[in-house]
Amino acid sequence: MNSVVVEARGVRKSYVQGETRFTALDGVDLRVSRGEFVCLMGKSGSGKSTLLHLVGGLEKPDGGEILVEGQSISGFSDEHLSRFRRTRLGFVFQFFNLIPTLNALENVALPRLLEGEGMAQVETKARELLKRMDLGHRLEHKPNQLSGGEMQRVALARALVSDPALILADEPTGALDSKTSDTVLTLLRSLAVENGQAILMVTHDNKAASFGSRLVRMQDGRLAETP
Amino acid sequence: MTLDLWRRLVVRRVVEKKLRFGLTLLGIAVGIALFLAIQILNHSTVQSFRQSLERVSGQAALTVYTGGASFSEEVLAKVEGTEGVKYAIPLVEARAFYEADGQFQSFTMLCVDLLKDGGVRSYQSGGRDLIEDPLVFLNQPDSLMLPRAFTRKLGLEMESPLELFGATGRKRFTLRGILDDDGAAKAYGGGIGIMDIDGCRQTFGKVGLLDKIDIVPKEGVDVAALEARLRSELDGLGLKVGRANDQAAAFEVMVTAFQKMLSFIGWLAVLVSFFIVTDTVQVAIAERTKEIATLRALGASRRRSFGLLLWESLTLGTLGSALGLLLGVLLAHKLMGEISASLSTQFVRDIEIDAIHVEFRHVVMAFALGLTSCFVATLVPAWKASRRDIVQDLRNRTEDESSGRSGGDAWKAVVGTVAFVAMALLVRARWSARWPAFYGVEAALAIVALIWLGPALVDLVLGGLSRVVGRGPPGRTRFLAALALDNLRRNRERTKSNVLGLVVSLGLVIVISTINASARSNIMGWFRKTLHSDLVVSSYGNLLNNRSQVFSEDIRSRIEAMPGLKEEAGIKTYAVRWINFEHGGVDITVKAFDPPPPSHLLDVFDLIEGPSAKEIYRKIFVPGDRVYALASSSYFRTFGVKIGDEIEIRTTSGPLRIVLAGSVVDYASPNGVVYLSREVYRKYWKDPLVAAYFMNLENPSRLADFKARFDREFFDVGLQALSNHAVLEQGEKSVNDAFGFTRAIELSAVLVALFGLVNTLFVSVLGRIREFGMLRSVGSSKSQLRKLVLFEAVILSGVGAFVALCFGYALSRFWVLESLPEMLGWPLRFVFPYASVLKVLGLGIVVGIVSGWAPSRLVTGRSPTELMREDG
Repeated sequence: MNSVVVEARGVRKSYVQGETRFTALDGVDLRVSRGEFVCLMGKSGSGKSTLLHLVGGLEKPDGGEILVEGQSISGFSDEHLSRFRRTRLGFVFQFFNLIPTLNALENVALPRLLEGEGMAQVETKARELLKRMDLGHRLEHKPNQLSGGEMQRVALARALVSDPALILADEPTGALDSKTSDTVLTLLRSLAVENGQAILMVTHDNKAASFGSRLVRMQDGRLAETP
Repeated sequence: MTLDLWRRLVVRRVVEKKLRFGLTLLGIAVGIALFLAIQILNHSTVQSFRQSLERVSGQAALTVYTGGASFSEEVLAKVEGTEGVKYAIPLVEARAFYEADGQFQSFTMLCVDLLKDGGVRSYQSGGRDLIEDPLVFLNQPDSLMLPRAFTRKLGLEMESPLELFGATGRKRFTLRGILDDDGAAKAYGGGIGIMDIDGCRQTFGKVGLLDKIDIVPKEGVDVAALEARLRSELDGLGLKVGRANDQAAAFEVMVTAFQKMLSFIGWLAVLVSFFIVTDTVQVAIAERTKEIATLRALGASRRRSFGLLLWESLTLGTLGSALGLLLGVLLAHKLMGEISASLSTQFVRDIEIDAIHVEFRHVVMAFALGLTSCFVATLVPAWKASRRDIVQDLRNRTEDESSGRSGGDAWKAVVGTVAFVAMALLVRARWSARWPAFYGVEAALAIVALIWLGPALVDLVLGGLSRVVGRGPPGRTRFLAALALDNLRRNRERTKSNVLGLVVSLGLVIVISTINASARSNIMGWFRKTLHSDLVVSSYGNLLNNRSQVFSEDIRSRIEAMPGLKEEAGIKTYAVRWINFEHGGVDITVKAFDPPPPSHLLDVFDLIEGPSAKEIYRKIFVPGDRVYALASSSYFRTFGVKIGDEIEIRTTSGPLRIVLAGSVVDYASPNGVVYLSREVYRKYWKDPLVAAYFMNLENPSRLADFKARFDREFFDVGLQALSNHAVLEQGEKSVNDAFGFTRAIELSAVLVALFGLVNTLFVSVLGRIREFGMLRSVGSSKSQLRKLVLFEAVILSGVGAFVALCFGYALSRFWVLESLPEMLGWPLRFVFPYASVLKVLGLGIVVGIVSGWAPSRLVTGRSPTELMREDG
């Protein structure tokens, strides 16, 4: 079985801001395999978050190709991309991005509810994931009743509820203290090691990057090191 | 969308933001309630009339009637002699007045030939004999039958006396029959009495006259053929032959213009609800951009996120519309009396809505309208929201709405202006009078003008304010004001949407108030001009509302014998009589006058165009080869005639040809009023009854004495002398009756406006909580933040009020000067109620301030970091 989960080939992306054209990515090649925990590092504006968003199908590249599990997602329709994000990806954001009107259990179940499943079908899995995140006592709590670390662990559980092949984390510890950050990063590493999930994480924190199995630096829209 | 998602993402959100969504819900409910109430009342008006007609008509297949004046009983023989007629049953309808709780009330008296009437109408009395002793009933001309519910209301039982005022004065009657509340007894809402025809005609001055002849055809006779034969037999006598349906249809045509005006108001109310929903949706989307982006990132497709927002709106719409249905039925009940009074006053006849008739189709239509307006209000904002940049929204970087839009707004302003001008030209051209579909076109153009010109005006005002503030003295206040304006201009779409909702709702209030004020001012001005005599003799009731008893002219000599009356050119008193009847397919009013003293001629008629007073006097009151009359400007407009034209009126004695000598102002009938000499009227209509006598005193300062003497002298015949002031009070009451219902509509419109304003300001502030957190974090104090929020509130409500004033003024000017004259036939001078309008606008600004205060407290009550973490 091909162990490459994500492959970016010659990916280019630029933006227009006012009257200026800004190149965010200038021909990037990257591969992430199963069980790898790859950290993308770089200064602000280096293109690391842009690459993450393109891999997650949140934007479309201007050039090149992105393949996830051997399928090129560049030509996917919105419906197809949305389904792809629901079933094959897990997202973890810097500021958690939990839905405020849903409790922890419901937030975790959300991707599968969006897939059309009922709560009864998802609940067991969601409970297990939250217990695994040591949040078994917080199932009914809403986001405004959780600490930052707890919210990020709920987000992590949400990212796992569909058994994704790939987890994308955008500065997941950016809003957390060091102790909580360590906890979250340890969980992420264990997902790669134990479950064999591919993890692509953007960070500007060296300590966070040290949890990864591979470090990729970006500068001015290009990889500073070979993938 | 699955039920789980709907419950969690839609219902829960609505419940959690209950204040905000509650206000929106109420806004939808009030708009739908007003719409439904008007539909119900319009339908109930015609249904009540139809049912009363059917109950009175009973088994009769055809009816001979005039629709107004009485006709000679000689017609009965002609009808009986027509081939195919089995029974021809005469009927007289009169208005009977009685005193209750210090006020004069009235009911319809049916004068029937009791020996024949059972073949047409049904009267039930609980299985017992209808009348305890039929011979006693028939032999006693004071015998009276009343429905059971009515007797309870009056506290009467068998053999109880009841004093009534008829044409011959006050008379005592005896209750000798109590009817079950069914059949004919339920006509006119049960406010009906039955008497034998002979005694009744004597009492109510209709000796030798009839109002209807009900016809039962012989078995096997073709009713249509019989109808044609009767028409031929009665041709030229000013009589109509028709079925109950025909009369109901004619009634429906008569009230159409009024009902259209009400319906238009109902549609405006729905439009206001639409803007309230648009407001809520736009702000709800704005404050949830990150949440929507998160859902998109997690795998919600564009279609699903679009659907989510639509479902939220439809959930609100369902609840709001359901509440609106309930409120609508309650509102219809509440307005029944006011609408009845208004219609009766406007059309100078008794129109009673005795019950609310709620049709399933009205309920379905109102509910569907509520849902549809929510759906439509949400479509574009939801579609746009589902296509937003996910990444930008996740990072909370909202677009600057002010960039690159001014070109688009400019062409919208042009289109809006063109729409406004086109609407004005259409109204002027009166195409809608010929092709009613153009009413819809005019309304659509008005809405387009509002939606596209309104925002341009808002931009203009905000831009102007920015320049003014920019030139103000430097300081924190100026900075905060400039920041508030900048916030509003940056979020252009939201600001426009907020203001537009306010403009439509306050604009509706301004239009209704102005129509009210203009109509009242014009009508009262006309009353003051034409009601000039020192005293008016009439029976009890409201003379000007046509709710007083007519009486016989025989009383004149007795009146003129009173010492103290001024005589001029041999004239001490002069009488007036007015009747409604069908002419040229519509109802008009004929006012028949005795010649007034020459010096008062132009006081009696509010002449617009015509010959000199001397010439009018000679033409109208001096018998000659030709009959002359004056007509109201509405008559000329309705029938498209001009001064000097000859018209033909079908009277009960045959056709009467009249030359129109001049035009006058008269608000008595929307279709027209014709002023005749009473001598001509009596000759052709054979009617000696009068509505009032006018007279002047030699010494007006002794008016009170004279009045006291008169009232004592004529108490037995049920007449009173009203001072000019008292008559004007009656006039004011008539106008209040005619327009009373608009108060409820104004109140509803004000409520809708205020709901919209509160909702707008609340969500506008709450949608920018993080922005306020940022301001606090860079050093803004709590009081500065509060001031900022209040500045925005005042600016929003102030700009909304100003734009509402502009639109309301322009639209109401059109309505008063162009549309109303077309719809109601009344020429009106435009009167703008500055005081009332400023009160409403002031109220809007005050509510704006209050609405801004509450959220500002919410914002200042939290720490900066709490605010910046807030997801809205």
